[in-house]
Amino acid sequence: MIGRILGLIGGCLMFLALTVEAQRPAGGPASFDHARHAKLFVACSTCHGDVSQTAGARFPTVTQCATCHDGKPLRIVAWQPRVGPRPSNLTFDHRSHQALRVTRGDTGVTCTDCHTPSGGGWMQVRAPEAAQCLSCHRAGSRSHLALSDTACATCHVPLSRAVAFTRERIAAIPRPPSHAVAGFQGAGGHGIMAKHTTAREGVASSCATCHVQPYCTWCHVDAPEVKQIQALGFHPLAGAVPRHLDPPANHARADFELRHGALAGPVAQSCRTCHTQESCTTCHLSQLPAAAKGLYHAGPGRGRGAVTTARRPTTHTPTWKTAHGVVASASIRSCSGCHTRESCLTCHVPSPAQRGGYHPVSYLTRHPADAYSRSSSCAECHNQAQFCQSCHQAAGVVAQRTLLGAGGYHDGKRQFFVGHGQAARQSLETCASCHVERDCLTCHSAQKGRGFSPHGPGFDSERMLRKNPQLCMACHGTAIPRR
Amino acid sequence: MKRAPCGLRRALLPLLLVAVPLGAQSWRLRFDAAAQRVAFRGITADSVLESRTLTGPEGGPVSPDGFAVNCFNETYCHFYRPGEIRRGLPAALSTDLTMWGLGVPGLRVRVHARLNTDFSGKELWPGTTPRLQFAEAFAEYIRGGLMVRAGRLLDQGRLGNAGLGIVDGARATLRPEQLPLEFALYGGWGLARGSLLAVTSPAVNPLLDYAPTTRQIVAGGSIAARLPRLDAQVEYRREIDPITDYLVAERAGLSASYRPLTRMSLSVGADYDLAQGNLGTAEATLAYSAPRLWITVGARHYRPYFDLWTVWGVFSPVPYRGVNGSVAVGVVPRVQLRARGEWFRYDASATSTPTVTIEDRGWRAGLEATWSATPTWTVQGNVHREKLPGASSQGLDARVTWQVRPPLAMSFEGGGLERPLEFRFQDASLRWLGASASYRVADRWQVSATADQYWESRVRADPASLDWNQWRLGLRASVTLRSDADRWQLPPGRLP
Repeated sequence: MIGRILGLIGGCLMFLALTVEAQRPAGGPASFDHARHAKLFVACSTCHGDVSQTAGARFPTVTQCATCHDGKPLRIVAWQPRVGPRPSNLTFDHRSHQALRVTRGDTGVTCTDCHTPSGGGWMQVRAPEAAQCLSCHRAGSRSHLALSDTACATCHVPLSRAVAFTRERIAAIPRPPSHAVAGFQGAGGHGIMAKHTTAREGVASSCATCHVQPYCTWCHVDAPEVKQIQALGFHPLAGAVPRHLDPPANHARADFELRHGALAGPVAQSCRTCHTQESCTTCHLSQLPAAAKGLYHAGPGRGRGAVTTARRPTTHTPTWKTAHGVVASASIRSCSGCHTRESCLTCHVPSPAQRGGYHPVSYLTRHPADAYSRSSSCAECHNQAQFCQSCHQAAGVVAQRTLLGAGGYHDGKRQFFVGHGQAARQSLETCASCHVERDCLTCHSAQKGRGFSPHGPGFDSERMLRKNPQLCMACHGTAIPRR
Repeated sequence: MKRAPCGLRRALLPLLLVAVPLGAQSWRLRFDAAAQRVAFRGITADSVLESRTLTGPEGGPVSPDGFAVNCFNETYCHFYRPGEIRRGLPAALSTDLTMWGLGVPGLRVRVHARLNTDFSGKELWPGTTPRLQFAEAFAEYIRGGLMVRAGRLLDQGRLGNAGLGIVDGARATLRPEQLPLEFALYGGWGLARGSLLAVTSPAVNPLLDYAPTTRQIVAGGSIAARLPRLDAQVEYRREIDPITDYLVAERAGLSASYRPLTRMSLSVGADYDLAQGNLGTAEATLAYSAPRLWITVGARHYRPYFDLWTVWGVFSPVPYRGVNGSVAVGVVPRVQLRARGEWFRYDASATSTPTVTIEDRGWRAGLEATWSATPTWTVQGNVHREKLPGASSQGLDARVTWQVRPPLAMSFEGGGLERPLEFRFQDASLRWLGASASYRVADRWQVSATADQYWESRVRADPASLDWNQWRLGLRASVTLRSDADRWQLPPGRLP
């Protein structure tokens, strides 16, 4: 037993250790602290060599660091020089820039001109800023992010070719001011900008610098049909660029659900950029509208598109459950936009095997209050004989004798038998849930009963005789009195 | 034993329905199986010799064991004892099938069938017989603006059965391209009102009263208009007994929904019984909806409707007229308060007697609150009171809903109510607690369970008071199957 417990504890400890180890950040080359080494080096070339002889950056080797960091007494460092492609989207080349400046007679150029901030001390190193590039690459008075489309490719490669760009650096790409202009998200904004290009790639380089195809596909379900999007490449970290899409202003209108069919038009031309046919099925469960045929199907090469959420139409007030009948009768096609026929059947043809969703849980006890004076018509969903009488029969709450009142059920009113007429005329449906016609005709029949007339205010005997004389004969036989 | 082969055939029918869609280009099939355990306790009629009755504490006659009795100038006096507790296990399997792409453009087939049973074998619970019932089973063909359906049809409208006009027949609908109008004509054989069964079915005549021997013939039509701010429909429906050629029913109806402003709508509806010359049920509701405010005001006229299969209509049921209103306010973003009320009064029934006074007016009101405490917790409370002729009720209840995590949701509820009756010495009181859980097993598989316990007592001064305590348990499983044609992962949507 003790062995099992110790084994269990050991297993838990091992699991804990593995979990902690798994959460440790992956090791990588630590960044070099230039300022800390300021008193050791007198020239950049000590470590970086002559960058004018190479296109990219040069870094010291492990052996160079180990000259000091050999463990006696300085600790050995885990420095590894960077290899592979540049982790940025710049086209900068030290060699050509150095050669160009020499050609122009500028032989005094040093590393600190670009890599040290103005007024900074020795080895206060940082990456150059765009403004430094623009000091030579003159582009008028516009700021870096407001430059013309043709200016981007001077310094940047398309994002699809910046294969070593890290997620963090992609996410930190600043948002150009053009993206904040009203209407930019529409076809008249970024759509036109993407087309204004002289580049051979077929898409504006200002787009391609920061975006790749999957970014556009996120909104554009028509991406396979838009050549500017197809001209963009791919990047594994495309999702790092923050994405945001505001719905068009007309989508926020309270009556948009009611009007969107008309706004879409016959082929939904304006909808097909962001919506697939599947967007429509979020609400149109039973049958797609004809205009939806103008939309593309979701599928390979297309994005998810705008996520649609079904909102309650303004007509659907909190009491809608009990009040929808009139609107449903007036316009069932509107209902079928969002509801399947099955959803109607759930309540209107109730299942005997489920706790109903329309009435509250306690309704079996509460139902007499609604049955006597109906808040809604019970007969809309329940057949009086099949539902009410059969259940009352099983419970013994049905007329056992033909003579009303003899059973003594209605003992809440003294002489109820004599004065039942008002209750009957007010709640005849309720009477008929326990009584059958024979009970009443015991007295209210001209032929076999006691001759008490059941006809009350508004009874049109001539009309009844004209419409169905058989009903008259049930009590009067052939001697039907005429007015 | 004789029923077994028939039952087998009926049980096999849903399987055949499953087999059929294999030939269709696209189909959608949903199975929904449910069962519940129910119990109730009724009353049993009894009698005692008048000579054996005693005088009770209230001064009236009682049986030797204390039951209040009713003596009606007969040898025997009558009373009701508490009945035995009866339990049922109703179960139902629903199959909802839609198929299209059957080789003929515009052709679609739709079936909604239910297989019912009561595992207790006692068939106590309404709706469990007959075993197989069809709500819909039709073929539809659409070409241009013309739509034709044939089979068992269920079309929503103001007239007809179950709020839905059910006929076994055909319906043609024409929608002209350049007009915002829709014309429909239909005909066939009708069903019993509020039921999926014919009027000749024994299940719709459990007390063996007068029963029609043949089904009625139904014919009708409608004209509907859909304008930018107005939807309206006028309907007419006529039902005839084919044996006598007399009318069973003749009704007309009007429904309209007008939206004069973006947030305002007016709904108006009325039906008229042409056979008896009465205005049936009519209502008008004006609704205003703002993001956090909903208001409705309305008026209603309610009169029960009876087919001419029965003599009930000649007893001249009187209508009531009432006004109603509701308001819902989003007080703060996570709290919504709702209030509703209705007041009504019956027309004069011309039957009053000096010995019996019966209420002729009533009102109902309720107050509800919903607090969405967090995205996963919602608390609802409800207080209601109905002071009505015949029976009243008042009570409160509360429900807590917990979205445990996406596939699992649970709710807990409880409450109590009092229910005094006007025509019987019996004030019922009820307390209950309930819980339900639903679990989405997979994308289109869902199971749910409910458990409720009720404690009910009928309050009377004599031993006829009874209790109706019970556990009610329910289980439900549903699965939706689809063809590949529409098996895309859909974006999340919230149905109203």
